[in-house]
Amino acid sequence: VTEREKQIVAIRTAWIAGVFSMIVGIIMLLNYWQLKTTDPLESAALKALVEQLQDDNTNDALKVEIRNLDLMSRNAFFTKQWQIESGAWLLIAGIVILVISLRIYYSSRALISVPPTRESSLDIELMISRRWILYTVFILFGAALIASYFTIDHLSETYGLTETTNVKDEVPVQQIIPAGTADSPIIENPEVLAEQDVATPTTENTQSPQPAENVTPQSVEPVKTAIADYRQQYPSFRGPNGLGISPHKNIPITWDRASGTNVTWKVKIPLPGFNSPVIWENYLFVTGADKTNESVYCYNATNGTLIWEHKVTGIERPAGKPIKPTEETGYAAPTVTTDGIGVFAIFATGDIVCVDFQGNRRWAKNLGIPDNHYGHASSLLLYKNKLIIQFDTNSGGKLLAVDSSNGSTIWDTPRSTKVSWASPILASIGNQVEIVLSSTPKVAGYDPENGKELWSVDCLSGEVGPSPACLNGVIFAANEYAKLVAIKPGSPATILWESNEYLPDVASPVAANGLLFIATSYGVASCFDAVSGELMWEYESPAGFYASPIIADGKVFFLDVDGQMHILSLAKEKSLLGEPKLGEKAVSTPAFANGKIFLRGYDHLYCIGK
Amino acid sequence: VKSQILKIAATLGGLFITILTIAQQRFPRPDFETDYKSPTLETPEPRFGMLEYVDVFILFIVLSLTTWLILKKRSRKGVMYVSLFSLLYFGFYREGCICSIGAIQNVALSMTDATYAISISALAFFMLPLIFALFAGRVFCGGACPLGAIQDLIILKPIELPIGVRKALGLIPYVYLGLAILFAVTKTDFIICRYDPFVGFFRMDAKFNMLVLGGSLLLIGVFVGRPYCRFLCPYGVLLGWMSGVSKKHLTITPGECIDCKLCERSCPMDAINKPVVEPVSAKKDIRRFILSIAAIPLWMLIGGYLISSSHIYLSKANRTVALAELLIAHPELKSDLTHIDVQTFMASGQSMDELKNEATAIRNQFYTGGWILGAALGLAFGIIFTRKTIYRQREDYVPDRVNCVSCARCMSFCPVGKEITEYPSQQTTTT
Repeated sequence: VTEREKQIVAIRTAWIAGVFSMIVGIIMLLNYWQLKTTDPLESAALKALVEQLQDDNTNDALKVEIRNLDLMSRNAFFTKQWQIESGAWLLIAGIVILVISLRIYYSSRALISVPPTRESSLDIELMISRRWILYTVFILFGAALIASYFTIDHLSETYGLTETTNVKDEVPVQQIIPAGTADSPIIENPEVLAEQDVATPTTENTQSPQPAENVTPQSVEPVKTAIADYRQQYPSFRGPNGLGISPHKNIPITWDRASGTNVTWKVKIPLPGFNSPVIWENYLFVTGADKTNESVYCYNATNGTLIWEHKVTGIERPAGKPIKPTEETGYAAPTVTTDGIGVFAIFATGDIVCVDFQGNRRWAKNLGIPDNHYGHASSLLLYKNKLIIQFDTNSGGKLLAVDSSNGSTIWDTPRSTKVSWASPILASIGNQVEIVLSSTPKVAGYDPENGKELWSVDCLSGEVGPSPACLNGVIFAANEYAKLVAIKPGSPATILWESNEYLPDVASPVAANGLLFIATSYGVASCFDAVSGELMWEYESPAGFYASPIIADGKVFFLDVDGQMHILSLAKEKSLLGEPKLGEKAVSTPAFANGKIFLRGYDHLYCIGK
Repeated sequence: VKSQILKIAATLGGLFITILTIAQQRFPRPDFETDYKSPTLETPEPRFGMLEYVDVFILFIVLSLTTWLILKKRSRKGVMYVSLFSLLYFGFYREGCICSIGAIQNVALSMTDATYAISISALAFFMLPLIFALFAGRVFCGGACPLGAIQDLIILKPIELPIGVRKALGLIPYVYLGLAILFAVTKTDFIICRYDPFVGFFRMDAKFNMLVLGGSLLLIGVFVGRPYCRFLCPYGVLLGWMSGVSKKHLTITPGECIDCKLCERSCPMDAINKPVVEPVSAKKDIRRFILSIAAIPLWMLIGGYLISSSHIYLSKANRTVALAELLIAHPELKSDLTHIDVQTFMASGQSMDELKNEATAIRNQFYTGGWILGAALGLAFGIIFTRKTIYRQREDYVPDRVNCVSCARCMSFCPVGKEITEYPSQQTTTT
C-alpha cells in the first residue's frame, strides 16, 4: 500500500464515519427533544382523562382506558430512551473511527517544516501578555462588582426583629385575673363593645324566628337588638370582635352523636364551606359555595330548620383567569358577620354581598378576584357602620372599610404585606379601638375611623393563617415556621416576649385570664403565661387543630380535625374536662350562643346543647 | 536491561492479579428473584475494601511508567499508549471517579471540616500526581489523566493561539480553583465534579447541557490542543506550580540543542519556550518589575474587597441559602408538593428561623471566604503579571515547565541522537 493509497482510504473512511456520526447525532438530538417534550406523565390526553375520572370515579372503563394510555406512553418513553442509549454507542463508534482515520490521514501527510521567522520580539509579546492579563483581571473583578451591586438579598428581608432582645424586663405590671375565678364573665375589651355602635339599631326586639317550614322569607321581621345585648350575640368569626371569647355559660362538655346525647339537631348544608356559624338571637348564618354556586344560609338556631337561602348571583366580576382554590380552603372559607340588620358574606371569588334578615339582598359587588393560591379565607368584621375587609393577596395587600349600608368604600389602606389568610380583630389598646392584622412580615394596628396605620412590627414570616389575639392591650400573633410574639402596641411597638416552642399553622391564638392558648396543626395544644411567655402546659391530641380554640364558660374548647373536642380548664394547671367526639371531620371554628355549641363538620351543621 | 524490565513487569503483574483476586466486593448486590432491575446509579459504585487501593496502585504504576517513558525511554508512542490505557481505565471503566482533579475538593473540605473524613485513596489521588510533578513535571497530565487523554487523541489540526488570548484564558483556572475550594469548604457543591465536561461521556449519561459543553470542548480540541487542560483545569494550576520547580523535567532534545527549529511548532499546547537573545533594557525593566511587585498588595486588597462584596451572589449557589431565600421571597411554595427541596424542609420539622440562621451562617462563610479567595487571586494575578515584566534569556528550545503537559510530542520532532532511518526524513523539508 503506497502512502497515497493509504491517505485515500483514510480520508474516505473519515468522510463515511463523519457523515454517519452526523446523521446519528441529528437523530439523537431529535429523539432527545421528543423525549423532553413528550413526558408521559405530562400527557394532555392522560390529564384530561384523569380529570374526567375525578368527576366520575366509578367509571371502570375509563380507568382501563387511562391505564392503557399510561402504559402506551410509558412504553414510548422507554423505547425512545433505549434508542438514545443505542445511538450513543453508535455515535461513539463513528467518532472513534473518524478520529482514527483523520489521525492516519494527517500523520501520513505531516511535513516537518522550518517555521517562519518570528516577526514579534519578546518585548512585544510580554507587553501584549501584560495588557491581556490586565484586561482579564478587570473583566473578572468587574463581574464581581456587578454581581455585588445587582444581587437581591432576600435573607435580609426578614431582619426586622430589632426590638426582641431584653424586653422581658419591660413587661408592664398587668392585672391578672386569678385562674380560680374563671367563672366570672370574661369579656375582653369591654371598651370596644361600649364604643361600638354596633348594629346602630335602636329598638329592642327579640322576636324569635319561626321554623322554615312555617314561614316564608317575607314573614321574618328584621331583628333589632340593643347594644347591651351585643355581648350575647356571636356576630363574627371567633365571636365578638374576633377575639375568640364567648360570654355564654352552661356550655355542655359531653355529647355523643351516635346516641344523640346533647345533640339538639343536625342538618346537612347544601353547599360546602369551611366557614364558621354566626349567631344573632335565634338566627344562625353560614355560607357555602362551589365552583359555580355561592349561597348564604339562614337557619333557625333552635331547631335547625332552614329559614332562607340567598343565592349570590348576578355580580359582575372582572375578566380574568378563573380562580382555583385548594380543596382545603374551598370557595367559602371566610365567615360572615352581622350587625343584627344585615348579614355580610365574602367568597373566594371576591364577591361580597349584604343580605337582610329576610334574605333580601341589600347590596353586592365584587372586590376583584383575589390573587390567592389557596383561596381567599379572611373573615369579615364590623366596626360601627364599617365593614372591615383584610384583602392581602399575592398581588398586594390592602385593608378596606366599606359602608355597611350601601357597600361604598369609606377608606382603603394599601399594605406592604404578602398574601395572608388571617382575619382582623378589634382590640382595645389604651383608649383607642384598633383593627389589628397579622400577615407576613408585619403585625399592625390601624385606626378604624380612617384606616391609618398606627404601629407595626415585622415579626412574622411564611404563610400567615392564624389571626391575632388580644389581652389587656397586648397583642399576640403567631405562625408556623415563624414565631409566637407578644407585642406591646405603641410608637414604637415593642416585642415583650417571643417563643417558638409551639406554633400554629391555621388555628388562631386566644388569650384570657393571663393565659394564652395555642393549637397547632400537628395536634399539640399549649398554654403560656401571657405576661412572661412561660410555657404552662401542653396537651397532645391524636389529631391536629385547624379550628381556632374558643374560650367560653371558664373553659377552652379545642376542636381537632377528626371532630373531637378537647375541653380543658382555663387555668395554669392542665385539666382535661372532656373529649366528646362529633364523629365527623371538622375544621371550622365552633360558635357559642345561648348555652349551646354550634359545630360545622365537613358535611353537617350540629347544635350541641341541652 | 530488557530482562530487568521483564522481571519488574512480572512482579508488578503478579502483585496486581493477587490484589484483584482478594479485592472482591464484600457485599455483592442482592440477586432478586423477581424481574426487578436495580436502577443505574448516577455516580459510580463505591469501591469496597482493597479495590480502592487497586486504583491507587494503578495510578502509581501509570505515573511511574509515564515518568520512565518521558525521562528515560523518551517515547511519544509509549506515552500515548499509557494515556490510552488511562482513558479506558480511569475514564470509561472507573467512570471518571475518583479523579485527582476532583480530589482537590475532598482535600479542601477535610482541611476545614473536622467531621469530614477523607479516604486514603482520595488523598493519594490528590498527592501522587503532585509529588511526581515535583520530581518529573506534569506526567499525570501526559499519561494518567483521562480528561487529558481524550483531548489529546483528537488533536488533529492544531493552531497557535495568539499570545494575548493564551494569557487571558490562562487566568481562568485560578478562578475556577478558587471557586471550587470556596464552594467545597462551604459545603455548597463540588463544582469540579458537577461541571466535569467529559465525565458524562465516560458514564454514558451526560445531561444535555454537559453534552454540549463536552462536545464543544472536543470540537475545539481538534484545533486547539487540550482546551480544558490549559484554560479550565484547576488541578493544572497546582501541577504547574510543582512542575515549575521540579527536579527533573521532560527535555525536547536528549543532548545539546542544535537550534534546528524543527520542534518549534510541534507543541499543540504552545508550551515551548523559544530562544531569546534580544538585548535587555535593564533600567526600564527593573522599574516596571519593582512597580509590579509593589502593586501586588493592592491587587490583593481590591480582589478581596470585590469578591467578598459578591458573597451574596456566590452564596446563592448553596442549597440552604437558596431554599431560605426562596421561601422568604415565595412563601406560597411551601404548599408546592412538586418542589422536592421545599417538601423535604417542611417534613424535617425545622423552623424558618433555624433555616434562616443556617443560611446566614453560610453566607457569612462566603463573606470571609470571599476575602481570602479575592486576596489569593489578587496575589496570583499580581505574580503572573510581574513574571511578564521579567526577561529571561534562553539559547535553546525548552519546554515551558509550568504549562508543559508532558505529552512528549516535541521529543519525536528532535533529530538529535536519532539515526536517519528513525526519522521521517523522506518527508521533511529543510532549509
